[in-house]
Amino acid sequence: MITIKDLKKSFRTEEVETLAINGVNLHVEEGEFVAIMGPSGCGKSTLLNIIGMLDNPTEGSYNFANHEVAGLKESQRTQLRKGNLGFVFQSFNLIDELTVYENVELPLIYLKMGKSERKQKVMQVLERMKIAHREKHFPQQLSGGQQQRVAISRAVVTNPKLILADEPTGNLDSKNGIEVMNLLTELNQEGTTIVMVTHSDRDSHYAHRIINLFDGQIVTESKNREIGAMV
Amino acid sequence: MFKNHLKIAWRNLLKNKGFTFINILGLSIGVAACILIAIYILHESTYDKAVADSGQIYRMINRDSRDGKINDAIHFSANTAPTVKQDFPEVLSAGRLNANDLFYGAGSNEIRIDGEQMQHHEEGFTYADQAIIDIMDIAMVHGEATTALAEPFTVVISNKISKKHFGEANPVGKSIYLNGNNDQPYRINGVMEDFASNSHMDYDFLLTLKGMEFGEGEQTRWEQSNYFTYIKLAPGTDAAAFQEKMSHRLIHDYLLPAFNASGYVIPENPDDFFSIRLQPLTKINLHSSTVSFEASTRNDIKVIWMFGIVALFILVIASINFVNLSTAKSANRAKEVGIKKVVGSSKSSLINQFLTESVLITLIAFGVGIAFSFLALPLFQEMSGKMVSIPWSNPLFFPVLLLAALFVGIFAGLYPSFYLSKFKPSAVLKGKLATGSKSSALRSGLVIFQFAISIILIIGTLVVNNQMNFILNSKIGFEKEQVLQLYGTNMLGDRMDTFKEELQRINGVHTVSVSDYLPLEGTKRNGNGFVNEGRDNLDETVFGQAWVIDEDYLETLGMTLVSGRNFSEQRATDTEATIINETMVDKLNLTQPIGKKISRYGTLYEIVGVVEDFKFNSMKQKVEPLCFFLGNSNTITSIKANVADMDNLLQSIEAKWGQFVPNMTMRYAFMDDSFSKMYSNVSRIKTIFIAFAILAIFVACLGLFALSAFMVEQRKKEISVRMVLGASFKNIYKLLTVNFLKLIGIAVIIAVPISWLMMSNWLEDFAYRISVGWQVFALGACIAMVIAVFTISYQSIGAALTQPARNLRNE
Repeated sequence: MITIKDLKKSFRTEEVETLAINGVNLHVEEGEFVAIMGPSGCGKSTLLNIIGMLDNPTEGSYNFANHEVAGLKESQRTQLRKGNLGFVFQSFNLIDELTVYENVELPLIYLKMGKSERKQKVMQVLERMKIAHREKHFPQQLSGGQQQRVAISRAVVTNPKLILADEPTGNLDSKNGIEVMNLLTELNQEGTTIVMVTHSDRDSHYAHRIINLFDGQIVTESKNREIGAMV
Repeated sequence: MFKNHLKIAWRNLLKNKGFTFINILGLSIGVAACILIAIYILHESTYDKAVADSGQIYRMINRDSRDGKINDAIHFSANTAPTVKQDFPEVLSAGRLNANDLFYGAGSNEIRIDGEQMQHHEEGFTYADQAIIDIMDIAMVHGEATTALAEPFTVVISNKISKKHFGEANPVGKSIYLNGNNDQPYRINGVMEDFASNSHMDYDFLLTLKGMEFGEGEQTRWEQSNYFTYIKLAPGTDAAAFQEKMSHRLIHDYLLPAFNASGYVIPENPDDFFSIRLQPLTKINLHSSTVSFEASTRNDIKVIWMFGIVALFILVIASINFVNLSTAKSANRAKEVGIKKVVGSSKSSLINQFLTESVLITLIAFGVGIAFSFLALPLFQEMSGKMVSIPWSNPLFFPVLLLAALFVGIFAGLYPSFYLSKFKPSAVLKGKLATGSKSSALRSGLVIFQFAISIILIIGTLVVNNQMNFILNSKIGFEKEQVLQLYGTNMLGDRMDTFKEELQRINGVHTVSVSDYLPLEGTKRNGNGFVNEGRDNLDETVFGQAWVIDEDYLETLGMTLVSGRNFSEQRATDTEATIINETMVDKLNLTQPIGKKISRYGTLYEIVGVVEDFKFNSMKQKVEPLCFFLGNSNTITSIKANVADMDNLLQSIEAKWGQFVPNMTMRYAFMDDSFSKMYSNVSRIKTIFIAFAILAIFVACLGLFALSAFMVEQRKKEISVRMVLGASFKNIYKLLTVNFLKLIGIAVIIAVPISWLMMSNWLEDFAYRISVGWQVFALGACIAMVIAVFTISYQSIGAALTQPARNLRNE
């Protein structure tokens, strides 16, 4: 599904040029669950942003589902992203002005889906995430765990092929964190590919494969023998 | 999708109530100002446009461009209109008006309706030809439009007057008498529709000119100019070419020969100085600033432009608030933009969303603005002196406003939309939002622009104010205080002298003078030619005023004799004496004027006195040469009195009046009030200017207030860190205030030269004017600075007084 070759990403300020990603090669199969780990500033999030098509690489190639992404314009990336990708963030990133229902509905509106179909899909996913009873609430009225469940609902409502999670449990207590990881695992078992950035050893053990990043390069890659070992 | 945009927009407005309130309040003030000024401009610029064939109708103008200054007169001789009609086939119709109250019957009169006893004072009388009714397309309520003024001693009255005196009855065929003259009835031959509020004519009585002659030979003399002359040209006539042809023919075939024959000395090359122009009917209201002795006050296109620009300024200032507040607040919206992009929104969809939001705000603001303008309308009518109204029933009114709202919404929302929709989700979702030096530079520029406009308006207001005070307080050469004027005293006839004596006996009355010629606009004026004795046909004729006064005139009005003596009614020879003003001395090149004689149309008068120049026209004009003659001119009586006990004095005078003229109420006015009214136009401009300047500054300060609040919000953590590190209250206050003051400083530098140019241009219209000193600019700048400092301080002080730990803990 994802094939990355010699990927580089540099950020330039007035005085220095920082190489955030320095020659990464990565292949992710459909249905895989990959965790990216590494110390702060190693380039994890940058890599995730590029995989999520929120950012363009400086050099190298990135092939997503047989489409070359590197060098695409923003509008083309938006088109490719729609419906194919779902995002889950550490800080949830829900829109404060919209209710739970409306937040989850938003990606479907951008897909120009009809109203009744939207309603059916949103309610389905909210029920699955056990948050349907809160559909009329605004994000500020929910606990962190509930907010993240809404965020995951929003990420999966379009049935994306790939979910990108950026430290999804970083702002949650352990109970809620485990619950979120179980949800992601369930989704993965149903066939959704997941790439997750994490600091947490516990979370990384939910993944099939762990990639360690240091100074913008992949230093080690290891496979988890037992999926869901910590559950 | 649109519904979603609308929903987010609406919830955002509710969430940021302060921001919404400031935006809507500012914009709605701007909208209200624009609506009021727009209907005012519409009213002023549509003058006479409703007249049928208005494009073919012209008023004739007599242009004199000596001394490099254009002086347009609108008075023509009686035979100009018939001659033009006869000589030029292009002229379909030519008609005359004589509204000069120098002539018995024109101006204001006491009228008595046949069969009644009571005298009523009425104004708005003019003599008119039947052709005026034809040309001006005057519609009749009663009577026949085509023949209403065709017979001698007929009169057409307005519907308003008809209703006042005859109720719903048709008065055609009834008669009225003027000023107690019971020998001459005027038969009402028609009732016309009232002149529209946007007609340059405003008369209630048209007395026919048919059969009238004001003095022997007056109807055929080219040298005597008393008539406003209007012509209607055949369709398709080239007006410019016709104007040259007619001007040349009239001047060379009629005017010059007549003037030469009368002994006037005309300058060489008269074609270089004199010409006859055609002023389009529809331009009379706004393009008559060079015309002297207009029948009523006209507006000035300059004023219209000025108001239009001011209204636009306020709207622009309010729109700038929107741009500034939206971009300043961008941090709050960045997350939303990021998320929407992540879940699949395109940039254009976001731009649409933000435009929806700004259009929503402007639509609300337009609604509130319409309400504001409705509420402020009575006040505005009073300020402008015009009965303008909001054209609710005009089918274009709401569509135009809606279009304007869309335009303003898109105009104000465009930059914020592009700015906000450009955020990169990868950056903003990590909380790394560049504060955007580019956007803050733009904000600074816009704040400078807002304040430059405000400062220009402040300085403009100060200059207008100073000029007004200068006019009202400058040395005018006479004393306008403590002078009471009675009108209509011509009704006393030969009992005038007794009445005058009786008045003088009243306690508190110093002197009483009878003369219609006063240094107030709207009182009698004339034009006469003068030369030194024995210089007829040799020296160039000096044109000036010839005023008829009595021996108490100079004392009553507090005028100063610089040499010679006053008139005395005891001296029989004083009927051949004259007192002249200093300007006349100058123009006649007299070194020892007392005892010299001057000729007025061949009659000699001895100069017995010279009076100090006094100002008797508007300050826009220089003092003209003037001669006083002793004689009888008895419509206005001036009473110089001690007005400390005004009620008693008025009672005593009214009692006397009642004894002499029992059928007429006494009309009076105080001279200083009448004098102020001469400048009511200038003072109106002043009031409107002040009002709009205050509005502009208020709206600009609303923006500044909100902007400083956001700045403080943004720097909250920085301020706290600084305080923890030992910054004092003063340090923090300065940190937050100095940058804004720098912007205001730049605005001052921009505003000063612009306002100097604008106000010098405005002052040029006044012959007597102030010079604009640096103090005005310094004061204007200080006012702006002080207001700005107050506005910012509210936020800065609040920030400097917070507990730093609170903000740091929040992090």
